[in-house]
Amino acid sequence: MTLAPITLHGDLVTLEPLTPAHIEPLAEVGLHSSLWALQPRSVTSCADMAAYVDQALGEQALGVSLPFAVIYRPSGAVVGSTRFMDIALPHRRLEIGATWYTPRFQRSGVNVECKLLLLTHAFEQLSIQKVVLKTEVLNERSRKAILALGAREEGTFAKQLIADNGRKRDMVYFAIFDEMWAEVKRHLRDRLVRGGQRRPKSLTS
Amino acid sequence: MWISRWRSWLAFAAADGPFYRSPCHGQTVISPAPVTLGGHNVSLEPLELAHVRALGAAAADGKLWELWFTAVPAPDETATYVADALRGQQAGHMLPWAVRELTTNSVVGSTRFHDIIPNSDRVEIGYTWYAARWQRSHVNTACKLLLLEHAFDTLGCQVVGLRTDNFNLVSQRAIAALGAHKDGVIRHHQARRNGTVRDSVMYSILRAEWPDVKRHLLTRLEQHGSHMSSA
Repeated sequence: MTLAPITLHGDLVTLEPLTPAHIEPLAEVGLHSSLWALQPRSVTSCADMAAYVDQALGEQALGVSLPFAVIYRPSGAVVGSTRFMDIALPHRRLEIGATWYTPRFQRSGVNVECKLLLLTHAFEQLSIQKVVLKTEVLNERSRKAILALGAREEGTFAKQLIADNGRKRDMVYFAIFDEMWAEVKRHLRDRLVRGGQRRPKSLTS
Repeated sequence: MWISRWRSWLAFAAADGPFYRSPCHGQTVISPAPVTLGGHNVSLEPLELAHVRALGAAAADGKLWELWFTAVPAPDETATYVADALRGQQAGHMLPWAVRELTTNSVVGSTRFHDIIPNSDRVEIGYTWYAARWQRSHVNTACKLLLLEHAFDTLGCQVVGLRTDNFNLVSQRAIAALGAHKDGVIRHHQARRNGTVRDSVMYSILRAEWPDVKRHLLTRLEQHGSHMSSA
């Protein structure tokens, strides 16, 4: 059984199935070098972004990924991308990853809502038992963000991956299990409420 | 020979296990006792039932009992909360204080030594909460300085621990900002008030790390002070 592309609707964001139509909008916001320093490959041009989207859609065709474009609803702009990946339905496990947002929308609440939508879908629609998140040991920001979801650190795998430029990547793995979901969901909703109370008004334009 | 070795082993095993350090063997262990601590415009007063009303008022500033991952009492639970803390003090594993802010002379929250383990020269600092208006002020920095000074410099602790709920991000950031070391996460560790069970994130400050932590906290107090005077 392969997962069919699906749109997930939130208040602040919509997660749309990734398509070639998203290449240009993603290239408009996604060519910051800071986004790609700790990723497998650098995306520095529209052509690179086309190849990036192409690869994601190839994985989708094979049934291993379900990539999304992240739309910021108030403006309708594409602000980043994320995906279900390493989908292993017989093991009731999948990973949430390949996540990036243009710098202006980092620390904005967009990630929290994306995670809420993806995790709700995984646990409540797909009966997932284990959601995996991973990041490079060096990626402090990402590690803190994953822990701030309430995920549990499981361990570090040294030399787990190699980036396209040959750089070895030590990966830290985290998990959210189905029995943790009720509290993680509550926590993420609390964060959205508290964040909404704090957020500067300019972001809503 | 075999029998005498067996007898020596029996005597050794009978002495409450190989890691027990009895004060009778000439080694001192920490002996925390109720005491008032003062400085930096706050005073930590040994908690008593007379504090119940003032604590209730402090908790009401921010309705702190509504946070699902903390143990702050609702107004009608404050007396029981204080009684439980005093029972822990009687039993020797807890030392609770009311926190008084001296410029306003008002009780603004509470904190404790807890999980006191004399044989490890160990205390933990926790059960800490402050009225909303005093959060992110000099109060917590001042309290942590007083408590850590008392633990390390007066009692002779070798380690001070701190712990918090896996979902309490504010607390995690505050503890990390003290300079405490994150020891790790204990899974499915302690029951919350709502019946769920939390993972506990554990931190510690070792005696050798205290001088740097102290310097850091004193600097932070200075910054609070200069920030306030320029307002």
